[in-house]
Amino acid sequence: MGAQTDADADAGAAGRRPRALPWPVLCWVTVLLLIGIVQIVRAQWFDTVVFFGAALLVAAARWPPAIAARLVPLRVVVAAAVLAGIVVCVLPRHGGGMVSVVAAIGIAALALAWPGRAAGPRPWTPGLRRLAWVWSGLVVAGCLWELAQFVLGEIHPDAPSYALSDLLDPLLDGAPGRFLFTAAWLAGGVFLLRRGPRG
Amino acid sequence: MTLLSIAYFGLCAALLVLATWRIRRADPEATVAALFDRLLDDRAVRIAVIVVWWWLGWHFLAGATL
Repeated sequence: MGAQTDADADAGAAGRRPRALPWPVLCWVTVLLLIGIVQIVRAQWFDTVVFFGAALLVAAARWPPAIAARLVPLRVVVAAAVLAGIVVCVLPRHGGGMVSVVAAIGIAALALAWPGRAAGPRPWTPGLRRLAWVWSGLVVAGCLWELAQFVLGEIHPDAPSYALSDLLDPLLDGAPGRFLFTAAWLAGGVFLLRRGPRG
Repeated sequence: MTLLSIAYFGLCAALLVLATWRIRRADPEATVAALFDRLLDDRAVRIAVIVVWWWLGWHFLAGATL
């Protein structure tokens, strides 16, 4: 749910940034730290740095003053996403070129997501609250399955794994699977970049 | 077990679509776009969601972790 709280409003009215992290931000910091801990167990050090770094960035993002977003036109974002998608589809997976392009996509997305003043309190209708609970519950259910598969893999390293990653991995080696995944991933990114203060 | 895993994720996805459709039918303002507008209004939450989204692409396409 949104992170605008009464404490934020009071602090905003007094012209200062609130010191404490509101609970939605605390929840996200906790989620990022938990994913980071799983990455330590997986011995994936780059991913560990990403998630612990992201937790720090998310906690720190509360304090710099908000910058008014200069909305990048949708057609520019879509054209950049299509171009990025074409490049991603032709580059070999896990190669140096792919690493560079996906890293560049991440940096660009963060740069576009950073600015934007909160639009202020917007009403959470009962329907929206229900929607938030359903989405949260189902995403957590998917994550718990992934975690269970990971734990089973640690207990029985020789047994095959059935995590989503292992199911999708063979599909992404083929052109249709790579195209569908890249299109869905980038479309999701464009959607996220158009929401919030821009929505 | 592969089928069970596919069925589990398929069920989660189907429930997501069905529940979203039913909630929207009862409350026309309860859209996915409106949900994300409220969720991403705060910069800190926005950054967290963007990092998780980006990492999915990194994990499947770039990182040598699979």
